[in-house]
Amino acid sequence: MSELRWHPLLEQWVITATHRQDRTYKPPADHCPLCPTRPGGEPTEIPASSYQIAVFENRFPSFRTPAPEPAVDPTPLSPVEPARGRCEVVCYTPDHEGSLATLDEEHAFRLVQVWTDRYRTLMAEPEVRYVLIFENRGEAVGVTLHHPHGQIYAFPYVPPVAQRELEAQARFHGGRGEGPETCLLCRQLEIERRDGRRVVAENEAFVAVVPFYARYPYEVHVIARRHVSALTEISISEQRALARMLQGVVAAYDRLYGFPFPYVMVMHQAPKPPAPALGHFHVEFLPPHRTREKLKYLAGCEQGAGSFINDTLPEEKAAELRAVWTGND
Amino acid sequence: MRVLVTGGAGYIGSHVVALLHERGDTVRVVDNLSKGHAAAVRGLELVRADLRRPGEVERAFQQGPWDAVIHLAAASLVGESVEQPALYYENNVVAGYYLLEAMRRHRVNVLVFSSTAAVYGETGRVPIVEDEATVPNNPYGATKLAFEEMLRWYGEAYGLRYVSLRYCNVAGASPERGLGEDHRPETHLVPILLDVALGKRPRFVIYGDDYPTPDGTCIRDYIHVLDLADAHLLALDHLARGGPSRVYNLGNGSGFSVREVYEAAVRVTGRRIPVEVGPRRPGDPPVLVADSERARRELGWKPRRPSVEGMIESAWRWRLDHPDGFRDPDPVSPSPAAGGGDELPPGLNRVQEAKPDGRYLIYYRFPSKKPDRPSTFGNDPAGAG
Ligand SMILES: NC(=O)c1ccc[n+]([C@@H]2O[C@H](COP(=O)([O-])OP(=O)(O)OC[C@H]3O[C@@H](n4cnc5c(N)ncnc54)[C@H](O)[C@@H]3O)[C@@H](O)[C@H]2O)c1
Ligand SMILES: [Zn+2]
Ligand SMILES: [Zn+2]
Ligand SMILES: [Zn+2]
Repeated sequence: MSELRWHPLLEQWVITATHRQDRTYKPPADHCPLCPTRPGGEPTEIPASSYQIAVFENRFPSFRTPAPEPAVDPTPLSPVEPARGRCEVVCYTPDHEGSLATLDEEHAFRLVQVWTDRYRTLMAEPEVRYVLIFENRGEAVGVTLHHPHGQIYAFPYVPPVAQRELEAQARFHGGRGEGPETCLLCRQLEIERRDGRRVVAENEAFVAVVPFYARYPYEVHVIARRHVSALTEISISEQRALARMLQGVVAAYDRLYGFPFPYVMVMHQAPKPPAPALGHFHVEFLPPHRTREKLKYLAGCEQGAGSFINDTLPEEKAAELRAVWTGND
Repeated sequence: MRVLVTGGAGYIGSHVVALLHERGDTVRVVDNLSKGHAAAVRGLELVRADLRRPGEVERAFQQGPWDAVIHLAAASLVGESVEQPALYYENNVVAGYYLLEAMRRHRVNVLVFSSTAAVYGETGRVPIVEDEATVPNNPYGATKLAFEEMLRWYGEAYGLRYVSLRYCNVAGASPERGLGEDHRPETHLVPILLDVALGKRPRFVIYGDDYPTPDGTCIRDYIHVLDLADAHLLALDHLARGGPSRVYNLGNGSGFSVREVYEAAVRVTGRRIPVEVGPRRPGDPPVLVADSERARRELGWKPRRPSVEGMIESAWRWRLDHPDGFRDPDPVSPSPAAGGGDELPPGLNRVQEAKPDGRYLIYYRFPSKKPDRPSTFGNDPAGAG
């Protein structure tokens, strides 16, 4: 069963998805559902015996179309809506081991093109208002499958974090229309590049930075240098530059402490209008580690008040990441 | 001019905003979208702000200077106001106070207020002139009047100049602009008649046919929403010219009875509209018609679309184009580049198949270059630029 229940205090939807309870939990490597199906072997999610990049609908979707009718009645304060939309799994590679960083460069570039195609395709579905491309990696963020993969949620509404960022961007550009001169993130990028202390790396089209206002110690934002609002607006050479930059971030993370560094990676792209703004395309990495051993838990202040306490200096964390960044090797 | 329009995403506001924009004024819509629709102001600047929150009001005034405010945001259901007066005081008086305070801070001292003929209450005399006593008989009228009084005293003390427009019933649409009436809940006569004509409501109820009027049903004044929007612009120009604060009634001059409107709707739609006569509603006076002589004389305003058929006809056309109001599916494509569905980049192929349980599975294929090393990391030089 799944449906949307309105949270009238926070004024946001809660997705009730009880069928997700019985999700696969860390199957042994020889039963990975994301590996290709071995001839004569146990079938996986992917019947082919080999593939390059594969995308399929999640078996336990939070959103689907057509959506089941909600099984509960609304209350006077909480409307209930069917959980329309889509949930997809993107298998980056047929190889069970590895990560975004270990894909060969051409493959990573194609992955960016696949994300672009998914964004375009899902945005064209009538019930979809927002497409969230993300990756959860590592047990620290609750990942049950280690095969390199990401996910896509196509929402029937603009989710609150995106909405808030877009509203801030709309306020910033004010009556001036949306463009590079009036864009909050273009301005932020200028501030970061002028200062330089928090920039981790940059190439011809993207900049990786631990932003001035980082909430997590090793938070990295990969920001498009050109004012674009979605993957669909970047050129082929920018797609390559994005692939290299994302790989660079993950590689630096993994080198930092010598183990695969858990993270949540989220792409922030344009919603479907009507919306406060289209926004400026960027990718956020939110890793839970504070130190090699310690995790940052979202506790009283973060969960209860929505205020993050970052007990590290973004300037220092950026320097640490720069130190393990691999240049042209 | 640079104009802030509160409630600009609502029925009347969206028409006002469109006309301002068309004549070249800079418009910022300020609306909490509680009743309004973002789709009604597509392509224009919309600041989503709730006037009941001073911080949000302050935000709405950023990036000024602003020359004037047109204030249409309000709670405006008579019945609801009797049950929930607190909501009306908050939305129409408290919010109005925050608005005026923000105007004061930002030195904006011109305001056009969309008031209502409900400030008069049940006057005996028709047509109503502006000097008629104001004795509202419900919290909606009382709170709109309270704001008018605030305007007056702010004017005396702080130099605010304002025009207050008092009118009764508004109808019609602007299908050419994609604008129409989409109230939820709908309490207005014309859209309800059209709902019945479309089969979305079972029948139309006439509340009382034993009034002392020629056909026994209540007589009301109707203004076409575009004529009303014109009046807002004229009021703004009057103030921009340095004109003094003023209250104006707006109306058609002659009214239409409920039965006349019903019959016009049947003629325009050509559909069957089942009708039924119910009891009178408390507080409904038999005749409400405004005398708008003053507005005609001083503002040069004249309703150019006085026929009730014309109003119904435009509303009907909009309804046929927008059977679900502003909630029809949004047009696709967030950005010019994101249109279409099927442009794959060179070298990328996509094959889709269905799994036994109906879920889709897509293989993406591309020419594979064997990597010259097992893995690559970023090529990007470290350090700041
Ligand atoms: N429709 C009529 O027949 C009629 C008749 C007389 C007077 N009026 C007046 O005209 C004005 C507009 O009427 P309408 O029919 O277009 O109504 P509407 O409900 O369509 O528009 C009002 C708009 O104000 C917004 N709003 C309400 N409270 C707000 C708040 N606290 N902060 C920000 N925005 C808020 C709503 O979202 C909506 O978009 C109202 O002030 C009403 O009193 C209307
Ligand atoms: Zn696997
Ligand atoms: Zn930008
Ligand atoms: Zn209405």
